[in-house]
Parts: sequence; C-alpha cells; structure tokens
Amino acid sequence: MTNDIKHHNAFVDRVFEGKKEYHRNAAKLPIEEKVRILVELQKIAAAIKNNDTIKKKRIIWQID
Amino acid sequence: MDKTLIVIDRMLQEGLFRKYAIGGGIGALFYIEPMATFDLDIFILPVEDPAGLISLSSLYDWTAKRGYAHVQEQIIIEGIPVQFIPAYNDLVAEAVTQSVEKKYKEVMTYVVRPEYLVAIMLQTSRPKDLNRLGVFLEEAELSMDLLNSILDKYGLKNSFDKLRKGRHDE
Repeated sequence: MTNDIKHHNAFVDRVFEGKKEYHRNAAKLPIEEKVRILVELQKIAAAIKNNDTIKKKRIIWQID
Repeated sequence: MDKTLIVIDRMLQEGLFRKYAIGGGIGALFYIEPMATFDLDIFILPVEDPAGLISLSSLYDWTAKRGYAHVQEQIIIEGIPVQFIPAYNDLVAEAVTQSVEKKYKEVMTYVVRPEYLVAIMLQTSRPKDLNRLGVFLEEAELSMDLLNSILDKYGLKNSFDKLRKGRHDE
C-alpha cells in the first residue's frame, strides 16, 4: 500500500513537472505566436461568455 | 496588432500624449504564456493643459476623425479594442517612464517592465491580477533587485511576502 502511494506520488510529481515545463516553454514563445494563440483563446472565451449573463461585449481581435 | 501599434505611435508623434507603454494582459503576454484577454491597455502620460488639467478629448477626437469606432470606453483601432489609461498614480507613471522598447513584427513599441507589472498587479489586487501574478512568479524572468526596490518604494513588500508565503504553503 505504502509503495503504491509512493509510486502514485512520483507519477503525479512527474505530471506536474511536465506541466510546469510546458508553461515555461509557452512563456518563451515569440510575441507574434502568443498573439495568434491569444486570438484563438478569445474565440473560445467569447463563445462561452457572449452566451451567458456577462453584459460586456467581447471583441475578437482582427490581426490579419 | 502591428497596424494598431503604428497608429498609437503616430498619436505619440503628434503629441496626443507624452509617453505610452503597453500594460495589462498584453503587457504580461510579453513575459508569460498566453492567457485570454480582450483589451490592449495603453498606459499614457497625458498632456496637461495650461491649467494643469488632464483631458482625453483630443485623443478621442483624433481617433473619431480617422473613423475608429468608440465602444464604451474603448477605441477600436485597426480591429483591436484599445483602452487608453492615464497614469493614475506614481507607480504607474514610473512604470511608463521606465518601460522598455520591444519589437512586434517590424514595429517598435514600449512595454511595461515585468517587475512593474508585478507591482501594479499587487497594488490593484483584483482576483484576475492575483491569478496572473501567480503565473508571473512561475514563468517570468524577473530582476529580484529591481522588484524589491519597487515594492519597498511603494509600500508593497508586505503584501508581496504574504502572497509568496501563501503560495508556498499551498
């Protein structure tokens, strides 16, 4: 049982470390690439938010 | 965004404000991973009239004349909602003054340094600021000497230490 927990914790630690590494690498992307990703995030967020009770209209950027 | 930045630079050249720097979520984007945000926040050092009053009407007139739509407090410049925010305290004014030049595509622009963004987020302390601040501490390359001097100067050191302790205890 104790060994199972240790294995489980080691696995979770690896997952979290992998996520951290992913986020750190994303932070180093060129700003132009980040803006492209941002616009995709805006589309997702606007699709959710424009359909609910949030009153402020969200404008998706036109970058091209 | 390059076309928007060109227009903002033209506004600077024509004396609509004395200096500007990108802050807020897009300022942060230069240093951390992409997070959803919709506004391009531009901190400005405004031009004062002879009576020492600040007015943004010249800025709104200038953009209206060129056909840029105004939506609530934002101006849609080349497809991007821009929010011009006059430096509202000494910290923000210093953040604009100390901003750094950055390139977006072929366009040079000014961006608030990450250490000032941290201090402003801490000072504002809305939930979204504190959330972004947590990401900053994980991902941004910060000069701790500069950050500590800013936090000391603006009385934010205790708040920062509490926040860090809270994160460490999680």
